Amino acid sequence: MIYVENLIKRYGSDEVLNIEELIIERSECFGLVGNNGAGKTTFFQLILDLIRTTNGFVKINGENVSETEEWKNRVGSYLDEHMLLPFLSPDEYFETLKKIYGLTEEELEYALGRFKPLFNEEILGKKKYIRDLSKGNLKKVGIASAFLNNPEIVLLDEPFENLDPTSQSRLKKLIIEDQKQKGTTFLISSHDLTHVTDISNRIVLLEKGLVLKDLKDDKEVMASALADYFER
Amino acid sequence: MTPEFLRLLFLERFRSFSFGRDLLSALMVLILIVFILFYLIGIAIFLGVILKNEFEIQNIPAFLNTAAIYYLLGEFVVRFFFQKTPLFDLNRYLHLPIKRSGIIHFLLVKSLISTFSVMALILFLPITISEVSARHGSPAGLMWLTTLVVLSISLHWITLWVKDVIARKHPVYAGLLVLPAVPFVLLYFNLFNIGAYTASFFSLSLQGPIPLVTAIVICALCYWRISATYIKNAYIDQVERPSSFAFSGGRTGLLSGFGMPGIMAETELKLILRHKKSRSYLIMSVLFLLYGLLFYESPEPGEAFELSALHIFVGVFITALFFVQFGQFFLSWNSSFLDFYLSKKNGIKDLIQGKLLLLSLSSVAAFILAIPYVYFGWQILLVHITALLYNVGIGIHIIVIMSLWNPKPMDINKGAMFNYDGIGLAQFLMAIPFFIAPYVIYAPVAILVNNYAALAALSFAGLIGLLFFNRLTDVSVRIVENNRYKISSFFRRGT
Repeated sequence: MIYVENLIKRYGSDEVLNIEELIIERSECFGLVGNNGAGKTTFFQLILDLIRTTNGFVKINGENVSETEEWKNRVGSYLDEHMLLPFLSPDEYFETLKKIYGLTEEELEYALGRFKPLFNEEILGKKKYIRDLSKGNLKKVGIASAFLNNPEIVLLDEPFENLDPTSQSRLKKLIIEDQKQKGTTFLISSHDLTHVTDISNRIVLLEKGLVLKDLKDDKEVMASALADYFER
Repeated sequence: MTPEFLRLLFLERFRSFSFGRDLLSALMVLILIVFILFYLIGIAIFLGVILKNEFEIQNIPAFLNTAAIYYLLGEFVVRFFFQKTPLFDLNRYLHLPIKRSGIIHFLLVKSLISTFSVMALILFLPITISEVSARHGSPAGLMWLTTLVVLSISLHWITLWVKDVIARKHPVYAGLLVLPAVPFVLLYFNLFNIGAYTASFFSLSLQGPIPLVTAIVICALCYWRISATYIKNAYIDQVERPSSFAFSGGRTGLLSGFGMPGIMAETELKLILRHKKSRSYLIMSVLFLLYGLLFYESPEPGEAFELSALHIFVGVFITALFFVQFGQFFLSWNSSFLDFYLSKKNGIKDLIQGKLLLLSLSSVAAFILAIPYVYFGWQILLVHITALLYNVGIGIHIIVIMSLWNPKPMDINKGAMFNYDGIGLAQFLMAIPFFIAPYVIYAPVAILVNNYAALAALSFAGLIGLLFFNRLTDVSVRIVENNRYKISSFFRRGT
């Protein structure tokens, strides 16, 4: 599904990411962990072709992401609030995405309906611009927009950050549901080790841009391996 | 996607935080544009008559063929300073299934909506009808004018490209801007007339379509070049270039003699040196020191230097350029971290005093750098001293207090690619009161007594302002402190 080869990103002489080879299979829930500066966000930005690679490439379904743009129809993502249009209300934003993705009214309604519990009546039908939302609600709008086009792959950067505990567990449910029922592939970076081990069936640990551990075992083994690393 | 983009663009403009202020400056810009258009139309209508009667030119088409290249060179320079670079927040759209190239093409085509796009047409339409068509026939006139307009549109793309090179490579490339001036200088000294060589191109356009086709090909190539560059650089991280500015200004204690404001001024100096936007202003101001060369001229032998009202403007302009540029965005530079100052005791006061200190020093520095103008007459030095006193005593407060009216948050970290606004029209508008104020004092005295007395009066006014420097500073401090909730909540929302 996602194939990464010799991927290197340098800023000047600083190497911020160097991944020799990484294959993410379909319907995998891929957790990405690592301390600050490990290269998690950079990796996601490279997958989404938001920044240039210094070397190597990323392929989604065999398409080199920097050469085609077809893959964007099948990938949903939310990295940070810069991906939103701050001057729209959430409703208008979803409406705009509907046009961009070419969704029908029913498809949009279905997609948003699934997020109703997460939105907690604070997002839809409100006369408030995205720029005026709290950090938590901003995140909810972003996450929902990543699910809107019924994507095969969803990338979320720190999705649990800024969410209240109730929303966190609701989001986890949504992720597991899509992964089990639709076979959606998830790439999720997080500092919350509990959440990330709960939902992931594979966890990659980055350190200073390098893949330090690639864990595919059962949850307890992954949890203890992560605990070992982070509690040194 | 185009209608959708247009709709979004409209919404963004309409819902901007600073809509009121934008509307006001938009209105002023509009008035200015109408004014410029009328002016252009006026010139255009009388161009033929002026050329015939004043310059006694008989064959106007032949003259225009020679002059065309100079017109285009001049237009390029004007475009460079006033034409806006299209801005677009790529972050918001790159992850969506919208073609990267589509975004860029939209952006570029939209940028054509500008006074410059019709400038050549307006200027030359009347004379084309009355002179060129009259002599060579309407089809020939049409072809001639179209060729010129297409070349003018090519300049639109070339300007964007040059600005892009300056922004991405190094601001020093701005120095290449003297190149368009070279043909003018050579012509002035009767050394070389480039127009003689390009005239045949334009005269050929009266006879056949080849020049027009060539112009269209040039225009297409220019568009292709700039769009390819923009598409290639349509990423959210900036192009890396080895930069000596990357970490600069590490020394401290330079201004420690000034106490807390000195420390703040030093931090501000680092802010200026470490951000592209402020740095390009700094470089521009240094380049603009040469502005005086256009106005000051050495008196003819045997003639005395004649002081005129224009000298005041030039003097103020030269010694104040950086602080007008920087001061206009006074608090906006600190918009993303204003909370830092708010959370410190006397933070706002120290910040404002520090900024004013730095701005004053920048004017002093410009004054020192401009001392060589003394070559054109010692009176220039008097003008500059007066200008400096006015700047530091009065002008600084005009700029700062005006800038505190609804200050806008500004993202100083934003990359250069789509954020090179350089010197825009709206910024010049804000400076109008600043440049008019000296004449409020100067003009009456100059009329009643004489120019030198007026100079003395203005200096005196500046000195009085300087005596009350702290009082006047407190006005700005109070404005910010009284509006601190409004300003800070506005800033926290970001750009």
